[in-house]
Amino acid sequence: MSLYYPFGLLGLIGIPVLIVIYIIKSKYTEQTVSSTYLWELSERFLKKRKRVSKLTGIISLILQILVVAAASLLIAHPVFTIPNAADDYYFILDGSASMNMTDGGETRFERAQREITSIIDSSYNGSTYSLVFVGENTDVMFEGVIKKEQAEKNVNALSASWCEADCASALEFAQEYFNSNPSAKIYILSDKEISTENMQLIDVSAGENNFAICEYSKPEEVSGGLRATGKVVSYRTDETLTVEMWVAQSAVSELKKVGETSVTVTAGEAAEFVVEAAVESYGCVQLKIAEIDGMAEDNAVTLYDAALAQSRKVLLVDGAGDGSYIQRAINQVGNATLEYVQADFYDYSTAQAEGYGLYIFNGYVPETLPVNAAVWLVDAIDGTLSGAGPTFRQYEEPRDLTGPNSYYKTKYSEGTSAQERLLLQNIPVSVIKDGKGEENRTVVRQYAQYTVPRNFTTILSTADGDSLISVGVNGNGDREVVFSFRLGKSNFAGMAEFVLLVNNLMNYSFPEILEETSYVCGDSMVVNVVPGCQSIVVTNPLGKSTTLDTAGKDMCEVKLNVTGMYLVTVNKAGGTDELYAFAGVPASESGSEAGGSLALTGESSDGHKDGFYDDLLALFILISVFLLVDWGLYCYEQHQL
Amino acid sequence: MKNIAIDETFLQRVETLQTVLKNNIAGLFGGNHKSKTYGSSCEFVDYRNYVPGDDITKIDWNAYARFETLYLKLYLDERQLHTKIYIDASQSMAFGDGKKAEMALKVAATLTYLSVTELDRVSIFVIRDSEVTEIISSLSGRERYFAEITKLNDVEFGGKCCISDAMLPTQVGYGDGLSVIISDFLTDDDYESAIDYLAEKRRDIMCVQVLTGEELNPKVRGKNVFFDSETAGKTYRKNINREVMRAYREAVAYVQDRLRGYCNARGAEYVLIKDDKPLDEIFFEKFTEMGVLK
Repeated sequence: MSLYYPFGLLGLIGIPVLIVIYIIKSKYTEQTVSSTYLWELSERFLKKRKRVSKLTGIISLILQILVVAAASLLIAHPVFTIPNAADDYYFILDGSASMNMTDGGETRFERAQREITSIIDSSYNGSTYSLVFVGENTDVMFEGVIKKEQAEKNVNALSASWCEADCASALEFAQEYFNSNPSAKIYILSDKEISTENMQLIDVSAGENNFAICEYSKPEEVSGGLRATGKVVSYRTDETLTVEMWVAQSAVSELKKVGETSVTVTAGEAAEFVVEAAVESYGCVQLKIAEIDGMAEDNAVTLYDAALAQSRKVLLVDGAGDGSYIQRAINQVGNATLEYVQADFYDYSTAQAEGYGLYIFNGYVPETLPVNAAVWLVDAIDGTLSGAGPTFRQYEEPRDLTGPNSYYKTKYSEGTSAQERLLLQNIPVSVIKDGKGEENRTVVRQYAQYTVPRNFTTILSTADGDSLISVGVNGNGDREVVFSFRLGKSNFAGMAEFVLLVNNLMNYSFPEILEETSYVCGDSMVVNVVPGCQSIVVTNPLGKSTTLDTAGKDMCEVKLNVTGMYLVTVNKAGGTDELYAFAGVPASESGSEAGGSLALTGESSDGHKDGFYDDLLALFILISVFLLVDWGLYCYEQHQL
Repeated sequence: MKNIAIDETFLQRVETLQTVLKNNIAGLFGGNHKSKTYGSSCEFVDYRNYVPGDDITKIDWNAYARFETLYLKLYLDERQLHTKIYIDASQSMAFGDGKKAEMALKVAATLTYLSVTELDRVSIFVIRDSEVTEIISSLSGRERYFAEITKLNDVEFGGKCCISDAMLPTQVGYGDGLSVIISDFLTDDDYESAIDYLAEKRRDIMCVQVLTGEELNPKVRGKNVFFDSETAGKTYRKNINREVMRAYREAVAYVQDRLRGYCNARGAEYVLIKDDKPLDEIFFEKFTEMGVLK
């Protein structure tokens, strides 16, 4: 036997204290009475007391001493060792969206929690419990917990995510644990079909059937109404599914069913559906499968009409004479009204009255940076424009007039951030980056070297790392694009990706608050910080609101981790815009797909740890009851006769 | 102990009461109590034949006219009694706030007044240890009552009280009135002999037991050591719990039953008085209900 907390024995000091109290308590009160005759006479009428009751006083003391001693021992937590009885348990708990599938009122995840709790309950005291949760992220939730109640409480506090998750991501943690504890019992609780080695799979799938809308597209307008197409799937049985189309004129209006179609589906194979309805316009369309299955969340998708196309009014101020490159590219991109003015005739106050959304200064540095409008500075930085952001250093020119040293090679950024990915969308950066197709590489013959502000992102740079094209938010809080080279002194304007990049830059300069309204859980929703925006609040389907940090940013990302409708509220000086986005269940989570093979390398051993017995709570309660009864009797005898 | 005070209005009301006596009256002539012997009062009781030597003035000539036989008219005799009141003056009577002693003296004073109004003589004695001391002797008449009753304020309480040892050697009279013993009777000493002695002397006997509320139902609980107020060094040590209290109440009942039983057996009256009861209630309710007064 050993003690967890030997300091608990300090409680034994209470015993002498108790004895002192008992002695003090036993002091007789002295008083004079008229006659002791009646008291002495009462002895004659006292019933003969049993031997035990004669010892009541001392029994009371003995009981109290026993209670103090027992309490001290319980605080000291004596542990009785049971050899080779305990184990180290390591659980990998799948928290992916498919674990939300329900059968008989219990989700797979709840079944997994029950299995873990059962294993913990049946284990010997002295065992340790660890758990890795594979959900939106893969994290070790607890490790080496000894107390069963604590471990069970931690397990029951978890809930499955709505994201795609792969148990393989937990393998690294499990392997590390296995290396240090080869005798550990490692369980994977998942609904996936996983072959394991040195681990035990507990399949929590109950064979639930599930249907899902696995593919869908934005409804298209056809003569006489809307047409929505997509695919549905039934994962276990052949079914005839009914796909319904529901429409509302706004995101918050009540949906009304406007059409439906029946689709015969072979198990495990996606079947196309087409639903048409006589609806002229919509703010929100929902496609859903009418039949009930194991998971309702993947049976419906909601599509919101994107923000109305904005008026994209562009003023090109040309001071270099080669603005036609830009003019042509913007015209190719379309969806914009471009006006051209020579630099000599440019007047900001006049232009401001026109309400341009984008100013392109080509080879001309304006005196004032336009406000509440995006700005492109094409070869237009010399350090004189206040608030523009970049700090001009010097012009770089090649040494030779011809040959390989007569120009500077360029490279695109690797596009790791969401913003870079959007700006370089559809541009074959990898082909150039890998050195293939050198003939298609953009080169520049001269550029202005400048210091890129911290909140700017470089998307094209020289081989030496000098920024050639960067984007960011300028001192006015407006979006800005900086070309540090003149298009006429580069082959860029002739490259195929030039128009693509201009298209992306136009989209960047005229941001929609939400560029996409349909996501799946685990995706990041991009929220553009539009000019004049004061704050942006995102409310998830559970009603939790988050205010985005927009300071100095031109866009924010929001991780979508719950399925359902997200509300994006943009507070602007002129009012509030409310936009909606929908996050569905990842298609891969709708069916119990094969989870592959998970193996822990190394030899497992059959060793066990020593268990222990320390469940003395019942004893403590028993003793406490004795104490309470004893004190209760004492009080009753003394004061409530 | 503070001086006793009795309301004059109460005393006026007491005058309406009358002592009920059981034994033949053998007091002096001229009292207010009717004797069982024939005498000279105005109350006619019987006739008897005339025998030579009888007082011819008592012959009923109307009866002679009708029956031609001489009959004497007989009248009830009236006697003056001698009421003797014995007050327990032990320390136990005066313990605490002295209410028990005060009650004993008030009862004695009231009974004295009642007897005086009945034209009886009253003597008041105090018993302390084994001695009887007469503090008021053969008191009669209201004027003398008011002059001498204040002597009760001079009674000093202390020591023990051995009723029998004190009374047996004294002259208590014979068949000439009421003897009242006022005490708490909280003693194992032999008081029965005193009652027997009085009964033998054909005295009417009234035992008035005065007890306090605390004595009848103590409030003390827990571990206590009680010191006897009468006997130095005498203590009682006990954890006063429910069982002890139950036994105590049985002891109180035993003491009362013992005294009541003995009194009943000897034709004596027994009255229990709580020290906090008003005199009015004691005399006009308790005594009259018990038939001691009417």
